[in-house]
Amino acid sequence: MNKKGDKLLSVYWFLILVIVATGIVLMVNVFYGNPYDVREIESALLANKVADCIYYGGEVNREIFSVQGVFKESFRDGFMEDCSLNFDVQGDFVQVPYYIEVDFFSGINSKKSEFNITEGNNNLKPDCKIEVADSSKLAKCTDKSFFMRTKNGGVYFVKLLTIISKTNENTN
Amino acid sequence: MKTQIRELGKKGQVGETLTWIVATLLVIILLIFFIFGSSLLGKTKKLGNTFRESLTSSQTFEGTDPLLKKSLFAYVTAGSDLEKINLDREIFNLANRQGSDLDYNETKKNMILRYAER
Repeated sequence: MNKKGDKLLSVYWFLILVIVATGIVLMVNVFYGNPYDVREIESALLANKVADCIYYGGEVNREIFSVQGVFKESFRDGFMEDCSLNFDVQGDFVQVPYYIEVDFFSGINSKKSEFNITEGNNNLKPDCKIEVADSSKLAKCTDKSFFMRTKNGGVYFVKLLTIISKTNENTN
Repeated sequence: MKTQIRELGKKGQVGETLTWIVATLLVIILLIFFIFGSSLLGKTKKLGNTFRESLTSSQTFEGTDPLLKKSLFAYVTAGSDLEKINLDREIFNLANRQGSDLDYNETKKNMILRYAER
């Protein structure tokens, strides 16, 4: 009788062990199984990179202005190469998950953009204006601006908009 | 006498079994509670824009908000006083609008100390 009880008890102990182990595995899986949403930080980093490309260490990128102080069209055309950016995506029919928009305003209080650069997927832009409770499925936007001074002493207000979608990689 | 002892033994067995059953239920309830807790805590984690050297350190001048420093550099190198006043006002408004991590006046002071003589 006692031997039978001992056997039953050891089976019970194994059962408890299995239940606890399964529980721990489930807990760890649930806790670490969700992805990290890094899009906000990614778009901020992209904005910083573009800003550094335009104005770094108190000097404006030489490719932006001509000798006469006029914006060069070649900077717009070669913006991606000049700023070491690459938006290429792998696979067919895959939308580019990035968008960059740069506006240059002459002077401190100017409202009219003098020069404009846009790169990437323009369709992501409406996502920035949508206001919903759960915005995790929308693209993340970073709106930043700064002032820069040219060699001639002119002040420009630079407005940056960077957008990252990458919804599948960053959400469930 | 023997039947009395047997009865007592049976009662003891029932008591012990009940203890084990209650213990098992407790373990399962606790596990469910912790699994539910970890699912609540383990939602998709967002990484923000605030860079700090460590969790306990306060924000530092170095490494944060490069765009504010770019604007302040334009302020420091401004030619006329009028332009400085205008730029100061605009950059202050900009920093407030963008929710800069840095203290505006402290950063401005640091920038002036660092670059004004150049």
